[in-house]
Amino acid sequence: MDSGRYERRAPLALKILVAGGFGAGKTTLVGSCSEIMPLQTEEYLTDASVFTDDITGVEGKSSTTVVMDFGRISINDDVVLYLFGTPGQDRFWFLWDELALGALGAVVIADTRRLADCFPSVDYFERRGTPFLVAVNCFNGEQRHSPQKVRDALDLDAGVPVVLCDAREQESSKQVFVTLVQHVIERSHRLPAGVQT
Amino acid sequence: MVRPYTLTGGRSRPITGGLSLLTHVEALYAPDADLVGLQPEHRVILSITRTALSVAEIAARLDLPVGVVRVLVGDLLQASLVSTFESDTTINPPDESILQAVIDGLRAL
Repeated sequence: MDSGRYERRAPLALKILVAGGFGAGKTTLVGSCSEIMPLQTEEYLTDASVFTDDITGVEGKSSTTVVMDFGRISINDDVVLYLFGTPGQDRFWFLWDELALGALGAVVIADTRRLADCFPSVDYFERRGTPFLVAVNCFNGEQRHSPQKVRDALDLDAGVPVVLCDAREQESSKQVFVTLVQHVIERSHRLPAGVQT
Repeated sequence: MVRPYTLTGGRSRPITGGLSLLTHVEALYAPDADLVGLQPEHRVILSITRTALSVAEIAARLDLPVGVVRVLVGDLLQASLVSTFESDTTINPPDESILQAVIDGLRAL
């Protein structure tokens, strides 16, 4: 740790990603806890994404603008939590690696009507070893599946929390993030000392 | 509407690299600095970074793509008008006492 940085009073920046399928409630979750700002990133299409992007008719296009949700919660003078709603479309995944680098953890929002939409997010965070939980967004208090059914359907490891939430309610959204941070603490206890993810 | 990279004279890569979304930018006190040749966006960045701000926040406040902000901040770095420093995000997971403070802070919202 470079103590000199603290002399410059840079707050510790903690990054939490909010992922999930289109329309699952990412914007709502970020917005219920934070002042929400749209963040534009204009990114260059990498070779990998060129293959997956349908660029027929726009062959000259080499960059694309992606808007994601961005929120900020000041915890205290020293710690700031940044929330990044990851772009919903699979084809913008090349953006995720920078976002995921050094992230404290991730919330995957599941809409039980379209559970399959969050498979890619779950898969991504599992592969990266990023701590995450699944938050089942119960629209209008509607709960179609129990957390256990969601866990089974997503084939989650036993340690991954599954919580029900109403992303519109601040209390409920706060609890999602609190559970995530608790999960990060518990996970660090389980990992042998010195192992970093 | 102005195409975003018009602001950077078409440059899409910053003069100096290494600016992540959470790199903090802080304007340097430079009363004698030559501000001629700076664009309005450069000046706005200088004024909003009197207290340090992350690249992501600058982009959100200016409603400009992150890539454009990286170029503009690169110019200011080159002109020694700002300094940048990384937030300490590399300790992952951070100290448990910090995480507990985060939990308390969230509950207090």
